[in-house]
Amino acid sequence: MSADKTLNDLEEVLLKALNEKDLDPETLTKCKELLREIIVKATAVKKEGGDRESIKKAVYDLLNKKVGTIIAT
Amino acid sequence: MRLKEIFIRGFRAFNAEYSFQFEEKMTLFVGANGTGKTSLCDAIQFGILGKLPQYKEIEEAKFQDMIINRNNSNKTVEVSLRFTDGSFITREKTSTALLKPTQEVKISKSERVPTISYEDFRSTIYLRQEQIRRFIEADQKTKVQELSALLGVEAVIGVAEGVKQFMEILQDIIKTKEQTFEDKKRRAMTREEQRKVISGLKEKIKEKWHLSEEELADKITVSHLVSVNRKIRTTFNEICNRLKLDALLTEIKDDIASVGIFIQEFRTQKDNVHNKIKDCMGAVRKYHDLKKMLEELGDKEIISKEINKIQKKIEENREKISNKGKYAKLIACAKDYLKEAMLKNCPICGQPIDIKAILERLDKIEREETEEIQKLEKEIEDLKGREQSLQDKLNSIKELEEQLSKIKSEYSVEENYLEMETKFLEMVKEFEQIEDLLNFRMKKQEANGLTGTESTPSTEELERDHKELKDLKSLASLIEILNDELQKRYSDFINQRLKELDPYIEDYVKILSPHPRFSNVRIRYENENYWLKGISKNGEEVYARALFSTAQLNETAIILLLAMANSAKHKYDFIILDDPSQSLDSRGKERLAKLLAKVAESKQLIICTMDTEFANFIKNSYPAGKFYLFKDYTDEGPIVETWSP
Repeated sequence: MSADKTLNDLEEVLLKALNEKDLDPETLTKCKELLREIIVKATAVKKEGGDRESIKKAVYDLLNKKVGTIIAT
Repeated sequence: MRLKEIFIRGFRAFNAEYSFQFEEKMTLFVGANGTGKTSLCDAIQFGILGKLPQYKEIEEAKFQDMIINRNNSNKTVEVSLRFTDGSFITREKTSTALLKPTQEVKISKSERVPTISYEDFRSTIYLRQEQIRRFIEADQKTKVQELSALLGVEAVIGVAEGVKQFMEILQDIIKTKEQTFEDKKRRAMTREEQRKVISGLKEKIKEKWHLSEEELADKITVSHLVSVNRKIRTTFNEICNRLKLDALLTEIKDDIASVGIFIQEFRTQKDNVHNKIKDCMGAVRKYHDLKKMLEELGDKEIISKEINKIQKKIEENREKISNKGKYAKLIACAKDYLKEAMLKNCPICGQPIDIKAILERLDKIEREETEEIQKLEKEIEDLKGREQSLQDKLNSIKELEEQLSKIKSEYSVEENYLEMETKFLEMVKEFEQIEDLLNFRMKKQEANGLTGTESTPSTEELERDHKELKDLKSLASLIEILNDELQKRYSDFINQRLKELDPYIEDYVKILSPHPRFSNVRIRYENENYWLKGISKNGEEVYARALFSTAQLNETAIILLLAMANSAKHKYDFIILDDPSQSLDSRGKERLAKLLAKVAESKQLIICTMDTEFANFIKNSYPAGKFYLFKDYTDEGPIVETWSP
């Protein structure tokens, strides 16, 4: 159960849940993209030996950066 | 693939060259603290992974000192592992540069050795001493974290918590941005639009209060508003005093702010005061009506005298009736005598008597007297009726007098309330005017302020803000969807992991931690905590307890690791347990030894312990194993012998 696998399994569960939701195609695509970004980030941190707190912070920072980008542009 | 042999040199506790052979199913290292048992376990990890991330909190320089034995003069460490399938790994590191705990030392020699992640190694191969100790000593939150780490789901929890925390912050950010945007929109009204608003308001006021342009200009000055305000206040206080009401209006100062305060207070009090005036007016009207009625009823003394006269007349008549009654009785006696005696001549003078004529005469007198009595009685009745009527009148007078007295005590009946109401209504009109003027003045000032000190946002700025807000809301909606699903599913996800381990856990719990009430035990994640759930013999699931007693924690950690090791898919077919009997009592140690003997049937076990009682139980449970003793520690490393109980 490597970090890759665990987080990829989680992604798979969430993708299935998203597909079952009645979302419009554009929202669904964006949700999936955002989920992928979160999973990639969390996996990277995990691979560097990050614990739960580091992953939590990394996910928070990733989303915060997205807000920062919106505000900056 | 199982471990066959390890070669160590210069690594941690082992300065000299050391090699240990592993028995195919169970190898036990017994030794006191500080003799190198954990160094041996870490050496196996270093050999396979090339790194020791469990020490990542330690500074790099200190870590360097930690992995290289202090007596190691050439500063080179070497760890070689040989496996039962013939494959091998050699990791060699010379200290030319600082090494990080998470930085992998490249394999110098290897043959068909599969790679494995640190997470998998930690969860399915190596249960460290510190890990068990943390289960025992840490607070509940840390224990939950440790179990999550052991299960390999801490990343899942980290993601779920990170998204949730950010979602909450983002909602606040959006709220603030929305407020700022609305504020900018308000400020973005052009000066022209403001002028139109002010001009419209001005025309309405001029029309309503019949004011010319000059009069309006005069009236919206501070001095005018303050002066009218003071006048209203003075009148208001005077009216309140006359009404005997306490008006608690604040002291007026010579500024517009106090006018605003006054207006607010006056607005709440004016209706009460007006109602009081109307109430007084009603009372005074009633007073005058009653007084008029009283006058119409006549003088109280004259009526009393009249009543006295009537009462006297009634008495006289009653006396007359009484006398006449006596006379009538006398006549009746005379008549009876005459009838009985049947006299023909007068007994005194002897002359003949006409009895019949006498009786007729007496009958006539008797009738006349009776008529007279009846007449008198009727007169009495009439007099009584009159007396009652006068008495009623007298009572009405008394009642009216009482009512008048009451009204007089409650209200100042001499007060001219009509004049007071006229004055009050004039004051209200002035108040309404002052309200309108003040409102107009404020709007005007606001408009001046907007176009003066505050900058007016441009259309471009507003459009940009609008787009930013829209994008933020769009992002928030995506995160919200993800967060909803994550919060709903991540517990299920962890529990799915735990369910996969159920068969092993059940099996191991029966040996290691048998319970009289429960036939099986489950571990489940609910409400951000791990729970031990007992399955009773009739299949009912009950919460045995939230995790865990110290010994149970130790047992749970071991059970979880063993369960995960058995469910692992990688090729490394061994488990390293460093001091697994911490906190267990004798019975617990014995049961653990039995459990490990059972596990040894399917996995190779490498166990380190300082606990000779536990080592004895292992020896009894699995005598075929290999047993080393780290006897004493020297500068070169531990003195190694074969251990026997």
